[in-house]
Amino acid sequence: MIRRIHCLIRKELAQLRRDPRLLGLLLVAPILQLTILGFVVTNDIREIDLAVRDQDHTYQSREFTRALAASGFFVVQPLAGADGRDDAALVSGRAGLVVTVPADFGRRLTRGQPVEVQALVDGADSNFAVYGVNYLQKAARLFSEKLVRATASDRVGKQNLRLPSVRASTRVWYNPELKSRIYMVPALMAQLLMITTMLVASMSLVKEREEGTLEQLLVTPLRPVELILGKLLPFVVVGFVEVVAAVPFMIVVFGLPFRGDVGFLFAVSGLYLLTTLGIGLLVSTMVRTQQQAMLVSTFFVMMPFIMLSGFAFPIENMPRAIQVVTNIIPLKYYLILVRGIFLKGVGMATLWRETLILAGFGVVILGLAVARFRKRLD
Amino acid sequence: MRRFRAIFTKEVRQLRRDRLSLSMLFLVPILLLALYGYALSFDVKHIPVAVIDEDGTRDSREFLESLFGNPYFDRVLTLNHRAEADAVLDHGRARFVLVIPGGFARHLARGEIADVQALVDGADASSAGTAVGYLDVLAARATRRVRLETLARAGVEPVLPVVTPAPRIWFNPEQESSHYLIPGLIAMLMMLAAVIATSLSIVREKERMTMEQIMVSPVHPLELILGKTLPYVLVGLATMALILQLGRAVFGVEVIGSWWLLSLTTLVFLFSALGMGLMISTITHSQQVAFQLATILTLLPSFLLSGLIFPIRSMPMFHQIFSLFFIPRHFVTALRGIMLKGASLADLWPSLAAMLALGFVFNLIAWWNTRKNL
Repeated sequence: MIRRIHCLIRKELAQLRRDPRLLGLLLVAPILQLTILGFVVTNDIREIDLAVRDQDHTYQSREFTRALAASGFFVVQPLAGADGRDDAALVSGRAGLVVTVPADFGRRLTRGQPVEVQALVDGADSNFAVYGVNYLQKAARLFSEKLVRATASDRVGKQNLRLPSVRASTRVWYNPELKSRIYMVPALMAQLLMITTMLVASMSLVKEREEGTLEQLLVTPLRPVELILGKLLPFVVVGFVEVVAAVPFMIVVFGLPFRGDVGFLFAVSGLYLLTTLGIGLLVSTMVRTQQQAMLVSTFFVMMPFIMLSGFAFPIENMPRAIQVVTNIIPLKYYLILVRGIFLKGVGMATLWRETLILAGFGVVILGLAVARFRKRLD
Repeated sequence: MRRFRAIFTKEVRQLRRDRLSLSMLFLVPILLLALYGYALSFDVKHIPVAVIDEDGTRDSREFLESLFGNPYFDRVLTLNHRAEADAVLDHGRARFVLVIPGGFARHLARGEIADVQALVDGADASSAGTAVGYLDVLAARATRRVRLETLARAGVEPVLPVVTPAPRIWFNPEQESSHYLIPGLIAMLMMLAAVIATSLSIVREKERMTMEQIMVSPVHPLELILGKTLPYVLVGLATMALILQLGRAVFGVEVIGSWWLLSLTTLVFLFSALGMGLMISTITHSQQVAFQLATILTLLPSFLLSGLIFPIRSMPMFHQIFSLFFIPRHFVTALRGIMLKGASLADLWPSLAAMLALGFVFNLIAWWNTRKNL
């Protein structure tokens, strides 16, 4: 049995060697993508274009504008001229926020009264609106705090009264500076791994069928299991090579911490590869042409995995029904495992459930694929 | 002209014979839009929180009530000792642990700063950041409440000169996540469909050796390209029309801008996206390689570099420039502009021009490579 698989693997490697572009793509592309996309996946939104319409022109309104600029969140541009169509700045994209300081701003503050400033926020761009509003509120709060202390100490000092406040001090674990890169980059690696291995697996068998060489394989003494193992093992190797290359890369280039166990990482990566290759294989048993394989694996597998695995959109926010569905996405468990290993330094003891589930998936999917493949042969 | 019609007819016939592919190019983007529009949202809510109340006074309980009286935080666990916090965060059973130390109420009564501590799971930086943000806001509100009380009790007129922003969210007043996701999702799905459709078309002929038959026919490269692209332009337009209807019917996302501008944008987009797929088809020799290349250039980039999730303005300068070479980035900007903001051609001509330029380059490369072969 080993000998037959060995022959098949030699054939696969020979074919791979004859198409150096494929090999190049499989090995180089993930690292390249990791580099470029790794620096993109940062959620730290800064330098928001803020336009200010000052209708007051007092010391206080100018102080407020200055405070907004000094907050570090915004790039402030004052609006001049006719103030009829200030929202045009939002439409053209020149600004993400338009703040209007009312004419009684200074007067009210001097009297110790609260004042509202109107802010128009561009709600059409990503989750920008939430950040824009949060930053604005934060900047306004800091400004107000200074004012309150100044006026309060004035009035209140006479009565020896002190103003209390509630303050939240936060300690962030695993990632004290809240670098989203640390969170996103391992997830990116998982997806790149999935894309490369699943693609080749799904296309490889279909390609043989399309070219008619599958029949030749079938008349050899190869048994179905051996055929599958022989076809997939080279890609398991490719997958491991990617992991081996990606991990030190992420640590060095992105400054990712690695607090867990390397052996455990490889073990769970192997399980994950079982699932991606298994799915690729399953897809290849369901389609007739390579284009169909491409369509099915992109639209029905890879894209949903990327969207629903908790990578960019928190699973907690999804409707209940969808949350249940996300439980059958292997990528979700691999993400939990990888993040745990890199950032929290936890191992089998804490993450045994996810490991078991991933292993279960691998076995079931591969089993299903093999069974289907056998049926197709008869 | 006759030769072009011949290629066109052949492509259409092959397309019709492959029912699976055709239905997938057509129906799947629509189905997926329904799924993602329903499932995905950016609003971070229901953050699981574990609580340790070491003070146990009326003030501490009031503060906790104000914290959990909104959909942002869910109180999932009550712990007794700080030592238990470790395990809770490690296992991921709560996103953060809130500790109200003993003496909370006492500090407030004395007019001092009363600290509450939050131990946050930073592994998910974006939700952690949001959680911290919410916590700050709630602490500020509690501060204001407590101060007003103090002033009232002392009989002092409440003097609180505070500046409060009153935000109005333009283009999307109810702040429906789906509204700003839908145009981006449409762009991503259309990009995938378009590139998949054409990236295998020529290389498939090369693999099956039918390319030689085309080469010995009197077909000109331009006619070949046009004939192979046009059927997918038609499919693309039809898909786009349906997907927009779905967006309106299911998610209430209306097209505020002009329809003719939308059609023009879609045509320009299809010209460049299909051209890109075709170019990939002409520079590769096996479908596997074409597939890999097409996926690498479209799947993650149209998700991460198009402005769908991460605002382009916040990216490093290199990436902002880099994204200019990706069609989805321009399509997302244009779609959002037309659908949500009612933008006009004057606002959007840079995006259209960019897509046109990219499309021109891609189609040129495809034509050049085909010419070499023919």
